[in-house]
Amino acid sequence: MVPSVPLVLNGLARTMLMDLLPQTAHAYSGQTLQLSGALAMMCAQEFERAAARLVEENAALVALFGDATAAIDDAALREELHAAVAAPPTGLLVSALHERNRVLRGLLVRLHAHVETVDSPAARALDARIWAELLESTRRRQLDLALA
Amino acid sequence: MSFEDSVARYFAARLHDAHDLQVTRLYRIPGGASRETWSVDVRWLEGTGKERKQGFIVRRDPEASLVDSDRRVEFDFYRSFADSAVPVPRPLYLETDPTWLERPFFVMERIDGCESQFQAVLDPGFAPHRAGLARRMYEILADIAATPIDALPAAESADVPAPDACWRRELDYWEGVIDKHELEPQPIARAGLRWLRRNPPPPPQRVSVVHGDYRVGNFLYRGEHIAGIVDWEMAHFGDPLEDLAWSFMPAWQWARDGMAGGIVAPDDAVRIWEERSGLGVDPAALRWWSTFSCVKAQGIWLTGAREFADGRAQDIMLAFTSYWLINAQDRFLLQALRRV
Repeated sequence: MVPSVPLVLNGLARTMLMDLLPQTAHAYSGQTLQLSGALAMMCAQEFERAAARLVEENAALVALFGDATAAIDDAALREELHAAVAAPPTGLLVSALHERNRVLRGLLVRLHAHVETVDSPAARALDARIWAELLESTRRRQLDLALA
Repeated sequence: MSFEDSVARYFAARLHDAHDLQVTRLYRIPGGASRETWSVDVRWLEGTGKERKQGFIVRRDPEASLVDSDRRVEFDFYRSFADSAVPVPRPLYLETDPTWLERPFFVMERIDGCESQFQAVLDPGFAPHRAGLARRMYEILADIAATPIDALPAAESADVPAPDACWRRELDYWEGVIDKHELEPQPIARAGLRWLRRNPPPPPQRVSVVHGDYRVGNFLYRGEHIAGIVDWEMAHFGDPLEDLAWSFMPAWQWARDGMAGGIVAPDDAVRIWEERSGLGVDPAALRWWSTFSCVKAQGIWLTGAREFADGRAQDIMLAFTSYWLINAQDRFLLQALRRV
């Protein structure tokens, strides 16, 4: 077993921020070290959680689309939602999960724009659910800069 | 030829009656992700044999950046406020010939002895100066808003929109930036764009100079004294409330305590600005421009992400802002839309 990727990236961050940065007198080099260290910390967090957050979010969007069709009177959009719900699962490579997420979030943009034009109780409920999902999406992506 | 040699060759050719010119110090200044900013110390002899020394700032076009902006327009906005109540570094030369430093650039006089980084205002030792600095910051912003625009050099290079076109022009531009640069769908930014189009603001009381990035971090200061407003790369003519709203954006509330730039409550800043400019602030219009500011900022972060991802730029700041600010900006936009 080798040290995990987050462990290595956090070690790099610690070296840059605590060993090298105090020895750097030059402002531009100092800023670059500071940003690089912080970036390494964020990459460590993202590496650890990327697959989990994408699986969670893709499932949440598919569930939302599955429930949305009743509120949609646009036949083409409804068909797209059905297709997204029926699509086979992707593999667990982050790149594959990310591509699926890109497709689903693009469809979410179109669904949201459509729902905003419909005045019905079902549309308003769907609109509220979309806003809740958007807020949740920012929580899933949140990173912190505390040195692990 | 090294960059330092190229800089020396340029100043030797540009400065009048300069002999035995030497660049005694050259270093890149951090920040300023839209252009490379270099500090240059130059020493030379005049024809009489008298020794001269001067510090300059060179703003060179980057290979790629957070902001796609026109250096001539930026230079003309500096010219517009040289020797005015709005302090700026004196602009000297605009050079579009890439043979000097590989890319176009312009040169300004350097203002020495000042701080520019926002972190310094958060230092507890700076606390006694915050209120005074905030007053000057918003008095100067009011002076920018109150400056008649017709005779300004910038009016030769930048379009002046009709009052009722100000909001639409900016929104169209920044929606285009997001269309062009997003690496993946942006459902929150798109919802923000739709809200902005459904709820347009009233026309401004007057069309003014808009700095475009007015905030703590983009001026040179010493205690409560502001010696120069810098980073005019997004300057344009438009609604002066745009600058006010931008300066209040949560991204610049460095201490996350609701204080704009870490130094002033937005309500206090509005009062200073209104008293000085003689203009009023319509709360609904300010809300529109605050929401717009979140969308514009997202356009900037998405541009940096695209430039880095496509390999047009290696500046680590672009990767950092992608990771740190795109999601944070989405959250700020949700707050502006009152969805948090």
